Amino acid sequence: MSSHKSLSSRVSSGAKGLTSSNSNSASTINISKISPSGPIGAASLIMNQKASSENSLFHICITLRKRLEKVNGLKPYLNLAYSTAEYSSDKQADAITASQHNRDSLRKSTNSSYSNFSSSSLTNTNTNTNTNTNSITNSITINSATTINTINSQQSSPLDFTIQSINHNLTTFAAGILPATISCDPVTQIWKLFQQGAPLCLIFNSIKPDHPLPIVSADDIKICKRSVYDFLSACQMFLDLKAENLFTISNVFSENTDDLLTVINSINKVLDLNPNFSLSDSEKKDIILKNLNSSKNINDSRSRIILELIETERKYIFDLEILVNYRNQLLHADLITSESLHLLFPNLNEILDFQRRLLVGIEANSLAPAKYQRIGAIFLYASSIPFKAYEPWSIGQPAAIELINDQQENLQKSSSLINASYELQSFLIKPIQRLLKYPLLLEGILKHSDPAWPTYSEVTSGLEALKGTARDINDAHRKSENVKVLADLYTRVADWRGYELKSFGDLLFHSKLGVRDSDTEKEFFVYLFEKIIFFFKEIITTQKKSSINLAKKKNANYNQNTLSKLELKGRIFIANITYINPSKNASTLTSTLEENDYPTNSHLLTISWSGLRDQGSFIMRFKTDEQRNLWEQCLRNLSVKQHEEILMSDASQNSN
Amino acid sequence: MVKVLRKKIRKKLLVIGDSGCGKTSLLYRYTVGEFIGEFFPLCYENFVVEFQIKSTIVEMTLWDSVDTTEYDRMRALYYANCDIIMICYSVENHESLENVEKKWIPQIQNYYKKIPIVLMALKTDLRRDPAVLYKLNEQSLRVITRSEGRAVADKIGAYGYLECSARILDGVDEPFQYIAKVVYKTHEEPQDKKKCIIV
Repeated sequence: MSSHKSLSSRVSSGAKGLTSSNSNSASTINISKISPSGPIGAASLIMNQKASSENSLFHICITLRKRLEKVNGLKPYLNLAYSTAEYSSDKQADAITASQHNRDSLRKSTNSSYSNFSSSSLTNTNTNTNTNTNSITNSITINSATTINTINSQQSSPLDFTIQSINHNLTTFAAGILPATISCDPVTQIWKLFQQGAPLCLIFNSIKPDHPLPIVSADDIKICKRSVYDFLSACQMFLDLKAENLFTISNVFSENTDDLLTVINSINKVLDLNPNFSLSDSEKKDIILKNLNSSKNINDSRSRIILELIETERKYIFDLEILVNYRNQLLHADLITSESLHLLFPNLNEILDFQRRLLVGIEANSLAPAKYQRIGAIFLYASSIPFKAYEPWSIGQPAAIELINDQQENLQKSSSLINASYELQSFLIKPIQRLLKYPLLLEGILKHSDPAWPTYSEVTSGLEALKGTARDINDAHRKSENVKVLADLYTRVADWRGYELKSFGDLLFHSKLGVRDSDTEKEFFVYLFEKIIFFFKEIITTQKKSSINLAKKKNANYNQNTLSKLELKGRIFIANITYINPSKNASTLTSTLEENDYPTNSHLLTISWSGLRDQGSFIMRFKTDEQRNLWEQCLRNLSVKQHEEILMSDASQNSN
Repeated sequence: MVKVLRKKIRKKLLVIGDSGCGKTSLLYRYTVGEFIGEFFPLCYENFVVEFQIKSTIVEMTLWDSVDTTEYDRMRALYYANCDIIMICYSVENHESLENVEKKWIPQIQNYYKKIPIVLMALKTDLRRDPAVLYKLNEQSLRVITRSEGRAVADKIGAYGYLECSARILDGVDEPFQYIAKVVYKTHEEPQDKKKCIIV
């Protein structure tokens, strides 16, 4: 194995800062015979690698712009691209603001509904269509290029979030809204520049002046495409560039960051051919000082958090790109089925594409004075639609983990980029970890923002929106897990006593709880549906319960193979619930249920109900405070909803 | 290059504890390096560190966690396939120590009946910080002492009790070396010999 190099070499090439003080102090302790040799950051592991700022799309475009300014006659085109980008930025800001208003008013009238995701939405193949493997000769004619564009935009399937739908309202490469002091982002400007076509020809002419291409400036997209075509053919003919190293016409007019990066890489290669277009060290330094949130500009807590947001976002995107490469290697090796690949990376391309835009938006904003920064608006926008892409990703995790365990050998054989046996899982969780980090970062930013700033309220609402997104995903997660739980429940219960499960809505929560309605507490399996609570008793067979050790290496929450049978013991209709009361300790219980010897760590919920013939109350005892709160909140919502429905149906009956 | 055949074991450490108690700072300080001034980082990436114990390489992935209150289903993804758990508290925050028993142990029990746990006291430098002492004194509280922390560790049946200050770099390495030893030992020893938490 290549990772078995000498240990010392790993330290030296290791991720930054595994300082020698670590290994020094290691020798001072000797608790037992075993003496660990101090931490050795496994530098050979791709997971520990740092992302460089030079890989960020924002930086790439600023550097390219600097190089392009050296091309003779390109200034007016850059200026034109600037104003087009500015127009797009304004349009985007308007659209986002308008849809935000709509959403706000919508939210007031309706409750947010769940989007219908099931973990089994495997039918969408996640093929990578827009890669640089497209040969230029295939799509060189203008007509076929336009058809490719339309094909790409029609690929959307209703179940999966496509790039088009998650980038809803985006007309630039910077997600969210730019500060008032900034007209446009450099990425959109570069994108708009190439779409003019003529600038590409100018670039070519400055490299090969003896074979000049005609420079035709036009608004007509057909003429622009013609110029791109001329450039591409000339590059192949006179610059010896191979088609696979170039881009296609559709890449130039695509809205996808992958395509834009393909174009940018090719242009940089062409510019490399003339040493006049390379940047001096001082120019490079200048870019970093002026245009990037470098340590020079970091002077207070707020800017430090913004810097942390940017740096960790770069690392996150770097990791997502590694995952894309890894997936492509798996695809290439052809040992893993495409269904399995989709299971591992449900919507990786969409997530990566959006995160790049998010980073552009944040980096552009970070250059403005703090009080003008629209960081809150960016996350408010991101939570509105784009972050919903995390739902299928999150829901698919348990299945992905299972797949990694099953297919370990094939995964190892297919690629050594990521170690499938233990590293891959750490990689796949990254999107979830990242999503849950944003609230923390935004809280930090909020803490160091001035409430008098006009952008302050955006940060608070952005933070709320982020938390809401996480809650929604968590709920969707639960629902998707409950599909299996419900299926299991059918088989576990022999006698349903005439109850039709279908008529009680979705299964929301289920747990093994202590329940008491008289003197003694008994253990029940409690299943909470939208309209009913069922209580089941476990039928203990002579067979011994599954070994405790099973919990290890297997998430105890996912059902184990041997499920005991259940006997239906009782039910309460939600509509009959009259009273829900959390009781931290037994002293607040109703008089019929006397104070008793609950263990100290009990989290109780008292439910009273009243039916046609009788009434009563019972106490459920939960293991954790959180679990109790979740049930309580859910029951309260359901109860209100049920009562409203009853009132509504009564009202409609009366009016009839 | 000499190729030495070594046994390699791979383990996952999950670090949990109240938010603000200093988990991320500890991990950051241990693997990434110094803080910039008094700035405490908010984000920590999963990171892999290696130890050599006898002829075995222990490769340990360090997982930081965030407050997942309300996100119980997503939390399960953090807890999946853990080998050892570090519960952290801060010596100037009594609630964070109370929550070890009240919140974190029950949470672990949702996922594991039996798993090695290490209790970790953080921000020990604050025991001598006049401002902190003054503030606690006003609420007629004191900083949490080593023996108080150890008592909780014993009560929850923790494998070990450790203290450190990430800020002044005191005792940052030892916990991880200790944990490496624990996972090494538990890996070598048969399952039933494992010390278990009180259920």
